[in-house]
Amino acid sequence: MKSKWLPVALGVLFPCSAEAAEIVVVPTRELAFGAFVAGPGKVVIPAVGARTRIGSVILLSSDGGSMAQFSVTGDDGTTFAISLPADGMVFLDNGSSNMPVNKFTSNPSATGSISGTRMISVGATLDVAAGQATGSYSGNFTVIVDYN
Amino acid sequence: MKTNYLAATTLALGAALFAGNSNAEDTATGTSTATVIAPIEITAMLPLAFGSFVAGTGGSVTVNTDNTRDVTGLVVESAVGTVSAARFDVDGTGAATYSIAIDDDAILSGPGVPMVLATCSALVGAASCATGANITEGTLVAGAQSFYVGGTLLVAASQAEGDYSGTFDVTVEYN
Repeated sequence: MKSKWLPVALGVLFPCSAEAAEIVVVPTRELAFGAFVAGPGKVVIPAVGARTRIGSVILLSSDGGSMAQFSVTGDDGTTFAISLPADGMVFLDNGSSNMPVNKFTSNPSATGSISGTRMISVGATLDVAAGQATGSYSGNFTVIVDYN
Repeated sequence: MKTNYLAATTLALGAALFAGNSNAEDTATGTSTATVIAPIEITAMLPLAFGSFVAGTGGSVTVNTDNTRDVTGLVVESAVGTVSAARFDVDGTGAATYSIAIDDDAILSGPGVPMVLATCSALVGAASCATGANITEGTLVAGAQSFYVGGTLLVAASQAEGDYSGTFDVTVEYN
């Protein structure tokens, strides 16, 4: 009876001992919307390219912001999927008022492949209200990467 | 019975190792920031005042950006009246840069023929007036900056006595 079960046990265990290198994602630069005068509108940081505005926001060129950057490492040659925050999940706060951050985008846009350290950039759109209080605002957002 | 139990446990262990493989996913938290700044404002604090002078047979009167005055031709200065370069105070946020647009010319009207004024400007007052070369850019320091506007006024030989006045526009814009 004993010898009949042993091959089954071994067959189940072996694949688990040959593990892939874990995928690791680390933030290397923050998502900065820069400085601007409030007016009803939006500030857009694309995943690639310069900041732009929509509506009555006045952008200050001496503080132009930048897209966020994350480094991804893992098994060379494997592909990974990027998950960004959904709309309505992220806000920048100054202690008393906030501004929604939506329409997250990334470059690469949905999947990428690992080769050494792979950089991904992340952009988004900030909603600004007509009477938005002056001051410094900040917030956090989550990026998830998965082997796929 | 013992061997059946061992196989079942091994299979259970194998399932757990496959399902909870945290090597295949990772999560990072990024930070995001924004700075909302106050609108830029400009206030005229002092007028451009040429003071009093005798027209003589004409010439020019110049007010430098440091409030000193020079004359050419046969214009004679009088100590009566205030002489000052115009001063503008700009208010905004932080160390923002901004563009400055100053009218290059202005007309002073009064009892006689209008007198033409060519403006000059500087962020720091100086005993000079370079007309046709107005400043075009400023940088706020702790949300503020001032600049000065002087000018050269052409005086006709028969310039009628009396008070003359006019206006000129200055526009500032964050850039």
